[in-house]
This record gives sequence, structure tokens and C-alpha cells, in this order.
Amino acid sequence: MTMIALTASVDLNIMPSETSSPNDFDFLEGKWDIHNRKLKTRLNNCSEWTEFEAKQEMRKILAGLGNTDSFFATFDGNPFEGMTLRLFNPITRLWSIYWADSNLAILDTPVTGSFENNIGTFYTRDIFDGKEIIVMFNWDKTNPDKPVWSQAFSNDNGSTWEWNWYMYMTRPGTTEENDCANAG
Amino acid sequence: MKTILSTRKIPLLALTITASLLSSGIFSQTKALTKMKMTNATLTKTGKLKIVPSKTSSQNDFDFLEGKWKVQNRKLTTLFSNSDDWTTFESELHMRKALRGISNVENFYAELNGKPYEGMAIRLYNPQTKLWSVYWTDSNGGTMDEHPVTGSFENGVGRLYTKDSFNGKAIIVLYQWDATDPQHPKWSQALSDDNGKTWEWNWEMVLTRIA
Repeated sequence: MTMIALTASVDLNIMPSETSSPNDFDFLEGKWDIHNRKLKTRLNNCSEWTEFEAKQEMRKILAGLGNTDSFFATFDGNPFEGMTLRLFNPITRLWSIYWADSNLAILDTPVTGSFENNIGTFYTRDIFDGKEIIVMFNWDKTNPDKPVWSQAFSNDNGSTWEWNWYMYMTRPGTTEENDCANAG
Repeated sequence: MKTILSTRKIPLLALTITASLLSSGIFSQTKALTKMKMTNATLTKTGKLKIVPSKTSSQNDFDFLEGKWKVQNRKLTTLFSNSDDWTTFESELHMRKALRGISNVENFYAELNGKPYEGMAIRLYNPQTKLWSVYWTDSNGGTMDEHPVTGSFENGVGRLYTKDSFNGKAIIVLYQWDATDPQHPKWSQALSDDNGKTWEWNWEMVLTRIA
């Protein structure tokens, strides 16, 4: 109990970038097709990946201070829906990102952070398989037409990271396949 | 530094007072202060709030709220000061279901000093505990309340509770949804600063369907 309390008291000290702004997620507004690449098991030296498609739609809320998106996919033949809530705190100039999904009926601990040079990094402490980990969300909007989200876990206080999920996003109708379909 | 984060907060001075509503008599609570026992919720000896679901609690209990509503609001001007001075204003409420039925999202739109105010509720039903949790955030904040109100519906009335603090004092927050008249559902909020014995109602919303 003391050990847990002691470890838990080591807070992540997260600072905003100098450029952090409530417009940093504007690039994500609207509909997207997503190609997902997900590690089969986590923190287990696994190198086997599963791939699946998903759809996402993001809209701004709270008079510009936040946004939500809905995420639709099929896992093992079952429809799956996820929901993200992103809130910008004008005082701390940090984003907090919350996640809930149709398997998990609670709002997950938010990851917190900001964008710098088109890369957003967001962190939180969490528990995985009973062990303390740090979760990182990474948003790469270097190419705003093809943003990439990825997630990594660290079980050694941030020294090493295992990437376990990539989402490659494209606007609907811009993939080669859809271009052919739309040509008619 | 927690001050009723889980309640709908609107700066009072900024509200538009609609005088015609004051006499419309749509609001049910005449006095703010009432004696009332908690339903499906008790305080343990250690001061924790123990909330159990009603026998009928279901993920469909908020279905009545789906769609778009015009909302007449009545809000107590000052809290915990025996005030009977109410402010009224109109707003709009949009609700849609999410997460394959175990969740819904409400957007709440009002106007303050000519500027748009927007709030948002996320409601999640936990099939294991059979309890609803309601999280609230708004365009003043930038954070989500950490203590969602939690509870369930019984005989058309939903009561959801959480512990919070107000001006440094421990309080219990109640959200009550009365869906017994599906044409005009009512939401009201009460706070108790005496461990749930007496409650001060401080906000009431009466809904009329637009779409």
C-alpha cells in the first residue's frame, strides 16, 4: 500500500509547448477513413500485428474549446464504437483527451499534452495487467491530409516505449480505390 | 480547489432574464429547501456514498431524451443562503445516443451576454453495475469533472448523486430526471450540505420537444 501510494505520488509534470492553441486539432475536423495497425498483445514481446479499417467523424464543440469524435469499426465480426472527447484548458494551455467505448462503460483517465511543430504528444499514468505504466498518444499532422495517430506504453517510467497501435488516416474518397468508384 | 465541478454552471450575471417566463407556472418546486431521503443511495459510516441500482435500471432509461428540445430554465440566484430569488432563461438541448446504446451525448446551448455558451454531458451506462454515470463539461472550463453523478431510474424518475465540495464544505449533489411526462421531461438539481437530510433545489429545466 505504501509502495503504491509512493509510486503514484510521482506525478507526470506535463508542460504546454509555446505554440499550444485551441486550434491545434482543427485539422481533424470531419470524416476520415482509418487504416489501423494494432499489436496483438501488449508489453509481451509480441511482434504480430492485426490490421483493420475504421471510420471516424470529428466535430468541434464547446464554442471551440473542445471536440468529439466517433470511431466505428468491426472487431471479430462485432460492431465496435468508440468516442473521444478532447478539451483544451485555456489556463494551462494543455489538451486532455478522454476515451470511452462500447466495451468500456467509463471515461478512461485522460492523456494530457500539446502540439509542437505539428507533433502532438500526450501522456498519462495508467495500470496495465496490474503494473504501473505510462501511456503516450502521438499525433503527427505534418501532412494534414494524412495524419497519423499512434500509441505507446512504457513500463519503465518512460525510458523505453512499445508502440502498439497506429492509425493512418485519409479523407473518404481520396484512396485509389475510391477514386475509381467516384470516377463514374 | 474543487467547487461543484459536476454541476451545470453558468455565470449568473450573464443570464438573459425572460420576464414572461417568471409567471408561466411551469416549474414544480416552489420552495428551494426540502427534506428528502436519498433513493438507492446511502452514506456509509466512513462518509462514502454507496449507490445501488434500481431493480429496473436499464441502458434504455435515457431514451426519452433523444432528440432536440427547447428548455425553460429556472435557477436559484445564490446558493445556501435561504434565497428564493430565481433567474429564468431559455436554452436548447440536443441528445443523441452513442456507443451502441450504452451511452448518450447531450449538447446544451444558451446565450450569455450575447455570446454563445455551450455545455456537454456524456452519460455512460455500466452493464455490470447497472448504474449510469453522467459527466459534465462546458465552454468555461476545459476540463471534465472527475466525479460524475451516478445512479439509476425508478418509476420514471432518475436520481443521480455525487459528493463534491462547495466553498470548502462537503456537499452531496443530486441530479433528478423526471420522465413521467414524456412530453415535458424535467431535470432538477439539488445540493445538500447536511449529509443528505435537507436539500436545496437550485436549478430546474422543463423541456419541450422541437424535433
